[in-house]
Amino acid sequence: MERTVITGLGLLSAAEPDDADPWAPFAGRPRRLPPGRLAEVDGAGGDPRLRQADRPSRLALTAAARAAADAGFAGALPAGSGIALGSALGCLATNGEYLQTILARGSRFGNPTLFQNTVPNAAAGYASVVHGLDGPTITVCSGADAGLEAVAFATRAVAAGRAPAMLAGGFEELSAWLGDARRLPSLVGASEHGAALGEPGRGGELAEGACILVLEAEERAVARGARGYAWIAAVARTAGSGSGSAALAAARALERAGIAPSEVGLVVTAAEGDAPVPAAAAASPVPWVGDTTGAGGPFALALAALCLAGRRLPDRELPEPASALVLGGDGAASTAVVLRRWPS
Amino acid sequence: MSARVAVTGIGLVAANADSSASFAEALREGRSGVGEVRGFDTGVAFRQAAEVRTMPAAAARDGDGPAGARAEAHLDRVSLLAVAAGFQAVADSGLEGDGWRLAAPLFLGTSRGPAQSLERLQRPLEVHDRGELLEEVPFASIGRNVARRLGLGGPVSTVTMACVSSSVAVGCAIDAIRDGEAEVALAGGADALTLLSYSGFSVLRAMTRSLCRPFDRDRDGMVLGEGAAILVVESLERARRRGARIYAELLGWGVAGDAYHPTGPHPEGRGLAAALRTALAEARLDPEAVDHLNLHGTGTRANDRAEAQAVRRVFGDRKVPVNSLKPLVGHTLGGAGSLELAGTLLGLEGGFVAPTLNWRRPDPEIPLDVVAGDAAREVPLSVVVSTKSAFGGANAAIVAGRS
Repeated sequence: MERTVITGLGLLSAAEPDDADPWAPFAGRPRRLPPGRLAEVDGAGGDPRLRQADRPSRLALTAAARAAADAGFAGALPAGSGIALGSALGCLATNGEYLQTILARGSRFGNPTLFQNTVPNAAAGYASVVHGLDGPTITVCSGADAGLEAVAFATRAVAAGRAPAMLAGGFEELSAWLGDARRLPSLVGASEHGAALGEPGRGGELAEGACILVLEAEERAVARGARGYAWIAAVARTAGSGSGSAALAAARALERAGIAPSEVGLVVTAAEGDAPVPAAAAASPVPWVGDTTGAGGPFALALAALCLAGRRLPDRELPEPASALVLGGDGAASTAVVLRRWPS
Repeated sequence: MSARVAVTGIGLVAANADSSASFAEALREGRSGVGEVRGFDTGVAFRQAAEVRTMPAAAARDGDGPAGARAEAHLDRVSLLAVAAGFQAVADSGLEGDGWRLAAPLFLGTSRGPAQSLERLQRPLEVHDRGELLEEVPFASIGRNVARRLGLGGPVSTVTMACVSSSVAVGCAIDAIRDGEAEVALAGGADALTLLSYSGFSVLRAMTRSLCRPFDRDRDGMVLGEGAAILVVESLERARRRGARIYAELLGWGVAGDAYHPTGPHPEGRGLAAALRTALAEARLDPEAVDHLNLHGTGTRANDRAEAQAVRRVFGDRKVPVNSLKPLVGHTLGGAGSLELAGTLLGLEGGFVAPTLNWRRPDPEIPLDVVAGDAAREVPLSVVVSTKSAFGGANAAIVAGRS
């Protein structure tokens, strides 16, 4: 099995939305996020093929372009590369908008441009056109853990040799639907997961954003002299919610990675809360970027990768970790990812 | 050494069948479920679709599940379809006891998801319980509804990739069994007829004004359908150990993007050819080994032509018998992958290829051996492939063989 290295990070959040530097959202102390949606999301960069993309697709496109550029890919990714995206609600708001029109004016007056965006994989489709992604593709809308689920799919694709590289991560549009759905912890529940980790009510401000990573086969990354943040040593998913589920996912992932729990240098959780395994240090991206539901897991993964690559969070003293455990989940599943420093 | 993967249970609801046995019969006899839509006002001139007229009783018998949940009237129609298929699949598999359920994952594909609930929430004058409807609205609600009622204890995955959703869901289940993450998994998909789909495909001018006739020279579009199909996917070793009925072995799968256009297929079928090659490579089979190809065959001009190109790229001049089940069950969108795979596996087991209804005139741009007529072609089959393609340029292929 091929080692999977993280060679690019693309973040778009309410914190420093215009800065493509993946460290930009975390560079300062956490501040109160501006309320509401991001002021302007283009994502198309003047590309006429993308002018019909809806808002969630544009969020994903922005993060994908930043990730590809950060990995050093000026144009398309290598042939056979693919994309895996996750979102709690996907294009639900777009579907609602389409329905509003036809319920008011009649079925014949639907907007065909809008209709092409009423499938959650529209974002992956646009990104595949821009970045030449003709390899494996998946979009999942399983809940708040969907972003990490997509990363798990992409990791398997690279490790099994199905793709030389994958764009993988999550996106979430801020909408009235998301606000409503958040009150349904059984369906979408980063904050519920946070509570399960031991800190009720620390789910964080609901925010929109997208976080996409470039995952690449180690051999190719080395051959092209790519800079890597970390490599993915193991992934595990378990069913159920709460600390028991998260602890089980963590235990399985650590066992697969061959790392004792006591060796974990850093735990990063997609939602705020106490880690279910002891660690030298713990962190969460939520104070910086808010609760981005389906993108929350990938934001946690990005933060852990940045820390393994030498970045230091300004509000705490961290030793130099050699490994990190990333945890995400929702009311139905938990995912644990073990990262190790690269080159190791 | 990765585990081999068997299909040991099939549950389905379609416009022309309410079980795997009645589906096999309908496919053999070329019995179509297409008719005039009764469930809602389509709002457009053309009102044909493959609509499920009677929801199978299993959907209302929640008490049969180990969770013992009672029937809930607020379930979205798509969940009712999926739950019914799920109960059938488990019963069909012969799996006994509840032990296997504890760690069994569910991979559920859908395109439109619970769009009927979304629509009801947008109708201000309708009296309803907003809270209950809100629970139904996220795409993930279907899988959670199925898992809760069947008492499945593994992770629930909701694959949302338009018309390849349930093909990819089955593919993910294959991976889970192969990698030893699960010994038993449920996988499939569902979509209900919705105003959203009816309106959208109408304004895109993708709907036929006459008959859905895939691969025919005079084809002019698709006909919508609704349905669900869920498969019990199990390690072959486990299935043999317990003496299960094995419909087929799933030998390989592939998914690939066109990287060409947000909605239209690559004109040369590039992504579909890649998905086919990946699936055959995983199965360690040459194209010559394939006895039958179940294609997407929507009946639109662009899709069918692109598929023919993809088949030619992979199979060369060899004429493999192909079919489309769309004139029989309609285009069930996210349910199409697993429903039509189920039909293909029933053909593999029974030795027949279902007819592509309404095909009359060959199209020079589609040089395929289209299995036509009003009844199935009886032919022994060893290896079959089912392919689907979708908005977003996604394509999937699944290879199955006799066990």
